[in-house]
Amino acid sequence: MRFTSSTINNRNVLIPEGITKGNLESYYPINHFDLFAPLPTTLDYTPSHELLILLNGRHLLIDEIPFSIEILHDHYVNGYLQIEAGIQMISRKPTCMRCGSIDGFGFYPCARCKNNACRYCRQCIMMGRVSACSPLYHSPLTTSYHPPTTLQWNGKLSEGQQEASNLVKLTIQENKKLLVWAVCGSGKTEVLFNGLEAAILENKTICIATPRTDVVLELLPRLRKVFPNIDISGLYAGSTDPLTSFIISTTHQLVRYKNFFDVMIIDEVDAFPFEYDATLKYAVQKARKDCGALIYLTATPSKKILQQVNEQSLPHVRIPARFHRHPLPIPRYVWIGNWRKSIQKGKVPKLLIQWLKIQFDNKKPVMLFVPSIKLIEQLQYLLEAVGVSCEAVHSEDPERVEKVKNFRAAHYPLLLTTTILERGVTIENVSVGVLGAEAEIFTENALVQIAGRAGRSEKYPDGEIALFHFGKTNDMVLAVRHIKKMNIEAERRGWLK
Amino acid sequence: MRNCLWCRDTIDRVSWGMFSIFEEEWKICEECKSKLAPISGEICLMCGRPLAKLNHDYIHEKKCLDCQKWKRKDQSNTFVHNRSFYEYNDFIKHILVRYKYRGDAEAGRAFNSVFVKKIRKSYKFIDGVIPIPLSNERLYERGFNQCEIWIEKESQTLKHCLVRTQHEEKQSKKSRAERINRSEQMFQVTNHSLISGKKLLVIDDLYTTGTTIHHAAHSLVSNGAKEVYSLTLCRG
Repeated sequence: MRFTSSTINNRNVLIPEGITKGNLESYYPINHFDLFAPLPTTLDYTPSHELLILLNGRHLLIDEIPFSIEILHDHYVNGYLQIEAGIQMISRKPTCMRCGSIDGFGFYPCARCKNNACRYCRQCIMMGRVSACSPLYHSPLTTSYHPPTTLQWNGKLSEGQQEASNLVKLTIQENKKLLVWAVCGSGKTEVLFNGLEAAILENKTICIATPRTDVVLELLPRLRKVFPNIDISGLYAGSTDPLTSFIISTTHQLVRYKNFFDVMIIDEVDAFPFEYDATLKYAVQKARKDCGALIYLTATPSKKILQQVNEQSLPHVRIPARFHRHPLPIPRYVWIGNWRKSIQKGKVPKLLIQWLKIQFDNKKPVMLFVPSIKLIEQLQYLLEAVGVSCEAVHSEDPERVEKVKNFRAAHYPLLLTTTILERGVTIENVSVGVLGAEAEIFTENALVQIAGRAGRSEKYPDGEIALFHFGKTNDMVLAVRHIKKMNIEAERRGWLK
Repeated sequence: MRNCLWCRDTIDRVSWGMFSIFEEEWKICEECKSKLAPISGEICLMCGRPLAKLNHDYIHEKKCLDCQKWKRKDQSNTFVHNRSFYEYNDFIKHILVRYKYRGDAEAGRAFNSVFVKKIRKSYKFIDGVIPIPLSNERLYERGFNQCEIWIEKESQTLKHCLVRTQHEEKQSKKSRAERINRSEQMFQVTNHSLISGKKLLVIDDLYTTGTTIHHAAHSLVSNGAKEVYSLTLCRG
């Protein structure tokens, strides 16, 4: 879009094309102008309540705001809205102000600013195009309100959970940072309850962000149940909840917020591809208030996070024991020879078949992790040929959720999967196998998460985890060491049965 | 290291595309390329659809039933034919959504080379190339005209001689009957001298019922154009 600058009450103001009939030559794309100081709020102006609610804490494109440009301009002139260019030069690099990306830009002849090569961000394009000439709207005045309410939960925290819960609460009250390093199955969500209650009583804005929509959908009912009077909204691609002061969001959606959250909780920080790190960091930083609390939750912190812990810039608390007080099951190494070659020859490795038979005989459902989609397809074909009925899921599978549901309902005994199911899935009494555990994709953290699928229920706390490999890797050894260390720590603290 | 414009996978394999003068060709990975369905084999001589998938009863003298209907409606014989590059499948639909509705111009630019090559090879006799225009409102909303980008390096492009008369509902939201039988004028010619007596090639993204193309051709011919051809990315 094009704007012209003018002076009102000794202050520089941007006026969008179409509002006044000015000389066309004096209109420029918004990025042509230096950032103006925000305008002071006019107290005798009555802003639109709907607009303020819509923009509360948000950082939006004009196409995302269903109000006319005239109304937006009035609110801006009266200090209820701020605008900035979508792409700006930050340390001499063009930077997308919404997602923070500094490369992967594209160009197009723009009908809005008439520039023949208007720059736009390809990184966050799926959320609407941010161009150099796009104004991003933001409300500097944010409000937060929760009805006074207390936690409706009678459960009891384990000792490990209790310790972490106290620290979470303190971190929220003092607006600090904390890493909660909790083993798979330790009950991370419950650890948040007391801290969230404190935040609600102080009318703080709260965001729990997680990489996947499945997790948002799983967390929503759990939190709504323990805070029944609080309006909690789920935010993910395609969600329609009105946005409140307590959000459970996918991390992607965070880019549509600016300077809003007093409490930011990031679940599974390490679940992102490495390249996404910078974008996530930017989004979290932008969506959170500068003085807000920041809490990371994970079972497998990345090297980067651990580095902050070692440098003592990030306090942390560990929950090494599961809520049922049984130790984590330790993965077993099973050398299986050149399994790729056997599959190419159309044979399922003998040891794998034998192992599967034992699990089936013991009435245990089996999750078998495989390094690639292609191998899954080959293996599924071969297994069915020898009479093993199985289902396969991968990241591009539109029926993923349905298939996992059927597996949980024991419609078939074996589920083949890529690392997509390494987190968040709980199947009672499951046995876990990893075919080709030496593959690069099975990092230490991936293997720890995969092993974390086994033995999660109180009824069946022992689980079988078999790492079928053609040569042990460092990551395999580190993963087993990681799990053993947690068990030792839990034992030492007296948190095991 | 480069990344595929569509799926962002890294392209590290050496391929023949790397030696092409059209840089678009080495910006798409082989996997994505393989999901496109280029039209080949026998086609309807009028609309360019593959005949192999059509019932025999619907084909007459290598022309499909739809085109025979168009012929009866428009006796002037001035719309010569349509040709399309790809069949409209889920994959290309997904790319077009990203290109047109999300506004990712680079994703669509990947097709520039097929258009330019085809125009240089098969349409040498053409006097001018016309991208199907958008209404002003739609153009402002999208930020760019998707057909214009495909021929941005083509010197014979005639912009601004054809305009959309009104901002109407998207074609894709209408029924087939509504689309074919619309009576009002869809296009208007603003510069007669530019097209008078000329052989023109119209560019669009999708030929489904052919309504848009036929309306454009009709407007052009009734304002003096000699012959009109069309070239679309997909045949729906």
